[in-house]
Amino acid sequence: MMSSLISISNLNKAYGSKKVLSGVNLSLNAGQIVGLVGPNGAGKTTCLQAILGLTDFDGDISVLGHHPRKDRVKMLNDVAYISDVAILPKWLKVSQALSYMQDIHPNFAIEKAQAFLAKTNIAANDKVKALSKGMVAQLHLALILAIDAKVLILDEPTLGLDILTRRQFYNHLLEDFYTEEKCIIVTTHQIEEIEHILTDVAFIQQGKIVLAQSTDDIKERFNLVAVSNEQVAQADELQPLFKNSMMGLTTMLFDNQDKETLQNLGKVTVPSLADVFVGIMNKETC
Amino acid sequence: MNTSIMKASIKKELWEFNGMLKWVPISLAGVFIFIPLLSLILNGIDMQALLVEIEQITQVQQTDRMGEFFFVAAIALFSPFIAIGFIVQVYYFVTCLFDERRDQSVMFWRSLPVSDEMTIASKLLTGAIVIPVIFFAAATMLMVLMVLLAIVACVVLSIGFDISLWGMLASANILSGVGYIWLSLLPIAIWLLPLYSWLMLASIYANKAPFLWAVLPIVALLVIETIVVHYLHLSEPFFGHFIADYFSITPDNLVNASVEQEKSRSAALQLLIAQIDYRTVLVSAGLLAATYWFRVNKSES
Repeated sequence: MMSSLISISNLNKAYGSKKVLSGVNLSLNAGQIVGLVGPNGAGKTTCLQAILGLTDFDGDISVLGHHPRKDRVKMLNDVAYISDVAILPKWLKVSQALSYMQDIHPNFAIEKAQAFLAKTNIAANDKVKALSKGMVAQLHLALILAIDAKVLILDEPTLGLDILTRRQFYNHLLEDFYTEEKCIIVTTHQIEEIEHILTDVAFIQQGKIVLAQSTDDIKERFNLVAVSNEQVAQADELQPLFKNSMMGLTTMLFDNQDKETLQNLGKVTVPSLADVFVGIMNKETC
Repeated sequence: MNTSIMKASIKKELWEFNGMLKWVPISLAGVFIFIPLLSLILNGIDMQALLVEIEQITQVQQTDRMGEFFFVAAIALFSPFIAIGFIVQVYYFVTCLFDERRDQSVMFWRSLPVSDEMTIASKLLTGAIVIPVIFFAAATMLMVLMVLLAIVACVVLSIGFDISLWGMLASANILSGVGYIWLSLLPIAIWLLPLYSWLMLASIYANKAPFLWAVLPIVALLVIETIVVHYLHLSEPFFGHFIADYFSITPDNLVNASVEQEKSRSAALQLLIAQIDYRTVLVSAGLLAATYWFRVNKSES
């Protein structure tokens, strides 16, 4: 049976008069890898920071039964976080980072971090300022994956990294961290790269969750149809979420339409999450 | 409060400011060692004149005054360490909460299970106690080195020239003299707590130029107050008086106090302790509470 690790209900946050999050409801269970996807400024980082207790908020958030603001330290024993805005300081040595983590974190296994680092070119005596951006990300990952956390929060963790390092990052995540008892929540702009590892997605736009579903359900629910020019008018009646014309074919995205009807219009394929994301975002802005 | 987390947090602060906290006291001690050596090498040494002088000293040595003489000499040796240490402390307090926001590592530190109370307390303890301890220790080591040299000199003089300075060395009460200086460390830290707290508040509040934030508001307050006092014909400026009165102890006062009141080496200590009162507690508590509030509530992204 799945148990809820994070539950968010009616989460609201405003900076002055600007509303950043409005009425966000989400529930994350053990075993889920959830992609929180949205355009820039949609409120993803604020949402994650509220979950981590790094910013105040209105509404209710429970992370492993803890209130993120009132119970932040206890909660952080079981929650790990990697973000492009949570940078390792340049003066820090690798050995110092390991020693510090071991001293302050009850769930940190230094051997695990050392074993991970042994597979990289990072030496214990290196300072962060001497490492490349990819190596810093590897070090950060080594520190975080060595924490036996129940919840892992990743906010644009691979921003600015090359594709090889990005792939490596997510491979390590699955191999060295993920188990059925844990839950990962990740935001990224490169949704197509992590599509295959996500179990669920939540699309966020202007501070509101516009779609939150399992990736399996999304692939059932949405269909991409390559419609020939003659049938475009007929297909338009079915109110596609999105259409894109190219070289005599119009690709249309449909939400909850009968598969047989769609097959009469053209070749039906399963859309990628990126297609669905673009479709949903366009619908909401229309 | 979890002591192992506190220790780890202080260790982290020492790593961060490692260069400054290691090399400044070492260089200072180096200056004390090499300048006399250099002058000795450059000017040479007139052994005959020196021996005559030493003999004169042994003849006129007043053992009851040696303790005071040594105490003043020890203070003179410690003073540059305390003064430079104070500059390092001010630098540390102004940057300790600002630097981690500037390099964006604050989010990393705050995503670990260390409370904000612990972070602020560890930084305060590092700046107010650990840094002075480092500088006091450097001065003490230099003093130990000098005492060792004095012992060697005594041995050489008594064996080779039949001049005994042992009585003088024994009556210097070296341990108690240095002990009194070390005892002043905690009262100084408590007395300066309002200043340290203010600097920490400037460090957490400033988005740029924390040094200006540490100085300008005080200057502005004093200038505005002076103008108001002048125009309203009030008797005296409250803040101006408050600051001048609270920080009226200077190193000169302390040395004079301990020298003038001959038998009492603790006079300086008493003077320091007398200055600590309700103002210390109220101002420090208020400023530290404000620092904590900003740490918890200031948005960094």
